Amino acid sequence: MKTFRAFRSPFVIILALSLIGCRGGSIDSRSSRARTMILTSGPTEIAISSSKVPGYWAQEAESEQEFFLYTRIRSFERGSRVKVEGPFGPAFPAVFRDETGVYMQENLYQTHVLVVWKMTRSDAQNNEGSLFREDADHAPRQ
Amino acid sequence: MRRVNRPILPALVIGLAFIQAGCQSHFEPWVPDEDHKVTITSDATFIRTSRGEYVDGYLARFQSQFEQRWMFMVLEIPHYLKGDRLIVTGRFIDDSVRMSFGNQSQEKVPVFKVARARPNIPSALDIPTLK
Repeated sequence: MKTFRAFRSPFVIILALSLIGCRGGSIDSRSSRARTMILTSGPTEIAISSSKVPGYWAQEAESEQEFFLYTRIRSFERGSRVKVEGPFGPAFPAVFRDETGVYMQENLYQTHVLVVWKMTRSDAQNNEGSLFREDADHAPRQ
Repeated sequence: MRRVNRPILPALVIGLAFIQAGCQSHFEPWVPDEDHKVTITSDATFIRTSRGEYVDGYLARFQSQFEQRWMFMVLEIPHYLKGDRLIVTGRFIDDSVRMSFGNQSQEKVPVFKVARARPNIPSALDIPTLK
């Protein structure tokens, strides 16, 4: 019994650490820090579980990682430099790429979908940084 | 009694599992994907199939074994246009749609579930120059 007690505390700690390790996914994906992105498409859509999801294709300026920005805002154009905030995670959507005309069904294409909470234009010529909030019902001001 | 049960029990469980899997009618047999060169002959259509599913897609024409055939190709994002020529990869599923061709009566057209589609752009012929 004494032997068991001696092992109990390290066992609990190891179990806790294992559980933390098993949570998987990057902690970064839960953060909502602002990221600078370059839009690589105009307003488009993807389909996740047969539901249409509007947004833009974008590339993160730092890592060149591709994202799909889920937003109802349609006032940005291809090539715009934006700052976005929101959580993201991996997904296997059905996609149609306008630039190549290629369609791919779900489970064939993996990408990161970022749910836009806040979207700011960060072009060099527009230093004011006009702010677009996803919860706005009306068309965003420019 | 126990000695007899031990070897029979796992076999019985496996057998029952197979029987149950066989009875699940919604499991479709695995069919390898096939490629077809198609021409879209309709605008994007939202249609009800004979199995009662509502799908987006196009009526398309293709050639198979020197015969002209028809398919209703199903895509989740129908962004192509009538007249587009595509190479589609996917498979025919056990379903059909009823479509009318001109003045003729309605016909059953098999449903083709598209996994991948890309534009069919024929490459230029490499014709050797005359000497």
